[in-house]
Amino acid sequence: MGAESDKHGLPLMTRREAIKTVGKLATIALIGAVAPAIVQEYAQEEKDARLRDLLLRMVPGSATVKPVLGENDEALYYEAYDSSGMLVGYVFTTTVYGRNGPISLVGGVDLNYRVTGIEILSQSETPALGARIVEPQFTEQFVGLSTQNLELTTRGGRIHGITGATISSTAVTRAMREKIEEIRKTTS
Amino acid sequence: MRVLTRGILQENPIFYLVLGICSALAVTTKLENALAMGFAVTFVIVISSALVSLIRKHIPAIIRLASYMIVITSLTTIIVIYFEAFDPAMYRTLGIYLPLVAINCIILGRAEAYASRNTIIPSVLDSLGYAIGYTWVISLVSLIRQLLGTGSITIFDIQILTISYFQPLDFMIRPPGALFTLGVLSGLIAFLRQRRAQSSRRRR
Repeated sequence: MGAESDKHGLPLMTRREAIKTVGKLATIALIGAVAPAIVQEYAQEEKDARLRDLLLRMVPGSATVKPVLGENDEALYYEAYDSSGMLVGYVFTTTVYGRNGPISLVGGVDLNYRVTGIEILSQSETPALGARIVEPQFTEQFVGLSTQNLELTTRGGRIHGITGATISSTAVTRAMREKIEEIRKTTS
Repeated sequence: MRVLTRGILQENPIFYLVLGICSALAVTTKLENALAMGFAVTFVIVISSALVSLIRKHIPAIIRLASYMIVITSLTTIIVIYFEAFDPAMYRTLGIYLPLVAINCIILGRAEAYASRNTIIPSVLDSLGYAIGYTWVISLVSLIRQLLGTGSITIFDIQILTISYFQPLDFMIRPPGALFTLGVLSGLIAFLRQRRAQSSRRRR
């Protein structure tokens, strides 16, 4: 290849060389874009499997979950079946606004609409305060409760909110209560 | 073989070349964070050096740096996707520093300085050496920070060592602690290096 430079300091090359060079860069760029996309496919399988395991954990004894789809093909909630095909409960994910941003959680109820499981998936609440909604000490309280008790103790319910984190505690409690009520209305 | 060991001690990327410092400061609060980061860096640097070495004769000079960056960034994206799917907890802990592996100077530095001019096996060994050099340093820093900052060392949440009657130095797990630890270690290493140079000069 020529080692001369034009007045801008860029190398002089023939049109043919220039096209080859651009072609090489384009090829590298193409491969560089496709490779992560391929990995993403495998990663997606893993993420889906992980979500499935999480959903199953929400209702003890469940073996499969089947989504109940809404108008836009999104999963409103899931029906949980045991290994013999009997319905054992319902599982759901929901997102609610906490103090600093969305809190997404997953939960499960049995056929009497009592909570069988809850887990916070993501949140951006204040560390050491609102962020403590992820701790078992808080989430354990929900298990076994029916929606009439899904309120903070300050409002007549059975959930002890986290001291100094009323907004976060209320948000999670409300999210659970409202979603379970929604499922109850659809399935009763 | 010297190709491999060079990056571990003599030309250690963090102490000697002073590269890759920012991740060394940010993710060294726990040993497993440092190890995960080391794994990510090793993955990207070894594969990128191997690829750069393979294609080195076919890349015209003007697109050299751009090509290397594409390779490195693509590999970083792959490792980010991997972490997000297979270790979400660590992915959240490392946060932004995982994608920032793409601009880790050690990786581009070795691609440019060595892999672009050598065959594939030496390139792989060279990059592996620097990866090991980086990993052992950030692991050491994280051990020190965790020990002095919390009073115990845990590996995957199993307590290995606890010092009782020790008031943890909280600043160690905050950013100042990282700078402090790295600074003191760098000074120590430089001092030892100097002493060794002096004694070998005296022997001659």
